[in-house]
Amino acid sequence: MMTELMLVEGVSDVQLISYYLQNVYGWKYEKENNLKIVPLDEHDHIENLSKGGSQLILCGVGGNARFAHFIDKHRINSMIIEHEISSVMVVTDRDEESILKIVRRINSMFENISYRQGEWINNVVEDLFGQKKKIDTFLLIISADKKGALESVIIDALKDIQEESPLIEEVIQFIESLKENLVPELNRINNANKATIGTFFSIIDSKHAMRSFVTYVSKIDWSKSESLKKLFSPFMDLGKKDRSK
Amino acid sequence: MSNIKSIEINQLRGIKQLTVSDFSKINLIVGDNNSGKTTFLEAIQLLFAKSQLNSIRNIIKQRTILNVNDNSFYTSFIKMFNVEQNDQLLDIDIYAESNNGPIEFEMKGCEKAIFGEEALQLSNMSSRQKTYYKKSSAFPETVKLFTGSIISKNGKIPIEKDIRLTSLDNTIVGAGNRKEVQYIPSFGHLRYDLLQNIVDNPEYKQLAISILKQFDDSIVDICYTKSDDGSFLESIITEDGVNMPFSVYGDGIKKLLYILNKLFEATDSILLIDEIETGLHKKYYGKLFPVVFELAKKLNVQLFIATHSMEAIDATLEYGEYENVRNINEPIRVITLRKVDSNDGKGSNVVARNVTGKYVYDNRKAFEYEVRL
Repeated sequence: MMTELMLVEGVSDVQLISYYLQNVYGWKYEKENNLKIVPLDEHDHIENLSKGGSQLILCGVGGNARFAHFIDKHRINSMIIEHEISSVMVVTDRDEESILKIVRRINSMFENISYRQGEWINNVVEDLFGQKKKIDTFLLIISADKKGALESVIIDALKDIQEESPLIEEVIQFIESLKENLVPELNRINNANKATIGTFFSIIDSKHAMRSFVTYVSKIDWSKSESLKKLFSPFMDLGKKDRSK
Repeated sequence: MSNIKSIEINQLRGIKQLTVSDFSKINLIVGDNNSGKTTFLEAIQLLFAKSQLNSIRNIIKQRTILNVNDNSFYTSFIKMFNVEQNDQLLDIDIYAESNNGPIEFEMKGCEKAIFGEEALQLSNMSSRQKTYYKKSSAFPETVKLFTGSIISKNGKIPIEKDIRLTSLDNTIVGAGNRKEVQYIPSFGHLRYDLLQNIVDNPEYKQLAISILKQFDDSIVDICYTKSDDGSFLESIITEDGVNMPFSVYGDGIKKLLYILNKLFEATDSILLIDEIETGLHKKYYGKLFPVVFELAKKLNVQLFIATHSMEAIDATLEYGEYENVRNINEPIRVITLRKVDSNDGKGSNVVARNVTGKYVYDNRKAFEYEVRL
């Protein structure tokens, strides 16, 4: 039984990744996880998936600034030592930060394991009995090749999908037109991306326009997006014993 | 007497080599069945044992407290050594750092087969027993002989004594020693004089009665009473003046008195409690444990408590008051023993994880930490 842990920023990250893993890689939803991780406050969002003999625990930590808080509060460093965990993957938005700083920040939160962007690392840790064990780590920065966040990944993915492409292009143009006079806040790329996605989903599913992101996630066949497939390709290694470096 | 800070155990039963440091005043010993908890407690007793077979016998017998048949001493003795030792020489070596300096115990020797006749001459049996045994149909052609020595050092000068016993020697004669380390086996309360250290000390007696009242508030006294046949019975007197022998009470009361009695006896020393939960309902842990821990502190008793019970562990951790952030005292260590494959690739060994009570408490709150494995 392999237990994989994935820490991601927010609830929308959990929902998109969970949906993707279920529909593209065949993971199934599970009610509980064997590490007994449960939400400890309103910021935490936990989803559990299983496939074959493996279990994946997806933890939404409540935003980029809350990784350290989540790791501390859930005693993830003790958990790594005390439990049999096969891997700990961290998925975070790049936003405006440099890759170097993100890697340094993530590494500073963990005591016995380390991370490199876009690469599996096979860590050997010693438990408190003095016994050695292996834990793999992977840091996925969204997106490593340009500044931005999950929203820009979703926009790129929608552009990839033939059925969705005309509408997303139209919405991008519309948001662009608002920047200069009506809504100058949209000049910030993250704001513009959020508005683009919100507008897009409100149009394609107007009945649920007031609902949360999770309602929209299932409306799109994300498996058709080549950019998303490429970005999420490390998820292919989850549940496998030998991970490619 | 001593409190110990660390221990190193070599070649004792299933333990090939084990070192545990940083003991506290309250040390919980936890782990799966057959992980070495009782052996760990035996190692502490051996450290304080006299250099004579009689002391070793007393420790071995604790494993078979409810077994009145004493005819397997030699086998039990040999089984104290780690059976995976390569050498011809069997050697148990235990070392500890205490507040009074180092303490050492070593028992070593060789086992060989000899003729039954020769063994009979060497055996500890009386002449009459030898004659009787020789005539019996069970007289064996060959017999095992162990020759070696016990070396103990608890102070400046080591004391060494040669020992010799054969597989014919199922009883070891000699006066029983007063034990320097007190030990409570899991079912010991069923065969023990529960009042011996309590009734003659008014302070202890009053304290024991006040604790018993938490279980049954009609209890007003504990004493020895004379039965119709002239024998003395351990009895409880209730507020109605009724005299009830202990035998009519449940295991809880007996276990409680047993622990208190041994605590008093262990003053300024060490008390080992194997499976503290045996005979006690978990609802009493919260009442009993703080009393035991406070009394141990008052009497300067270092506790080593083996348990399988998560409720007993949690009740012990409550004593640490870890929710109180200003509490900087750390009275509790939790030592988990685990059987693993030996590093040399031959057989098994026992390894230990030694963490603070606070570490266990915080982890249990965060992710239902299973400390026992």
